[in-house]
Amino acid sequence: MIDTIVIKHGGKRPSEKFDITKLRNSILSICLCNRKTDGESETIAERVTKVVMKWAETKNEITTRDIRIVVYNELKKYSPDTAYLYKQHRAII
Amino acid sequence: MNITCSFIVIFLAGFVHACFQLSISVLTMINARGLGSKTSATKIDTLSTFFILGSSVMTFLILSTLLLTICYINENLITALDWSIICGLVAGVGLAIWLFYYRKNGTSIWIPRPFADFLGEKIKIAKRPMEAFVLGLTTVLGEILFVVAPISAASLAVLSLPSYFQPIGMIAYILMSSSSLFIIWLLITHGKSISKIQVWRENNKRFLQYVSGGVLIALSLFIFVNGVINI
Repeated sequence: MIDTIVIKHGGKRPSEKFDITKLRNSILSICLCNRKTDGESETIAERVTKVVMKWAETKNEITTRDIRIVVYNELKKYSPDTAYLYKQHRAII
Repeated sequence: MNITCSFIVIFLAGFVHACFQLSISVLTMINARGLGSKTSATKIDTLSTFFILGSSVMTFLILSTLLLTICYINENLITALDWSIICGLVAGVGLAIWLFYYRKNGTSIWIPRPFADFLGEKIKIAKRPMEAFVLGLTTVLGEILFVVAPISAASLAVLSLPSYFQPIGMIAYILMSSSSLFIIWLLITHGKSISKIQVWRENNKRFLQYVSGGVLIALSLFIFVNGVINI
């Protein structure tokens, strides 16, 4: 856990500490739902999480939107399909 | 209206209903959620089956309610006035679909956002078949603003059929309206990735919007010619 504060989108929910496990699980879940194998999903989640952690360490406050942009750009390098799904999954309904 | 024309109305209305996207979106989300949380394929299939069943049951209930209401009001007699009301409704909804159906982002459609959020929350917690079934029921209700036109047209067409053809007309409508859900379900169970389905849906959303609105307007003209002025 690092000390960066995450400000939630819309401001309805309270801000919270940046939780890298939560982020890793969401990336893992989106990879699995796009039919990546367990191993591949783990590797992608690990690599993307590392980059996001390095980026977040230098900041005091970040928004969920910032995280989504960084994750999307990083995920795009490994799996453009999964990156698309990550970006769009809130706009399905 | 003769039997052939009635069946044409039922099939066109069912086709337009099948083009509506809310149920497809929810089914996609149920599958995405299941795959993402490593739920077994059997369980995802069961949830999808119950969701489609729920959606079909609600379509059947709305169709039956409309049939009963029309029967009650008209005492089993369909007049040109009934057809003209349906004709106006179908044309109006067709135009509304051309103007409003999709939002800017993704495949989200023009339904109240709190309701879309509510569906999103329910998808997250739907783990039992019964929950998926209720989700299916609710989803059709969520789209009622758009669905009301094709179902009304189909109900009047079913009523204009001879009584022994009426159950066939109802089943045909329900099967036709659920066909898109079956297709999505088959694609996912045969290994198609959610992102590919989603990319296709997003790339073709304006086309689907144009087709659903266009077919509704064509349907209203067909009803006008065969039901209202009865050429």
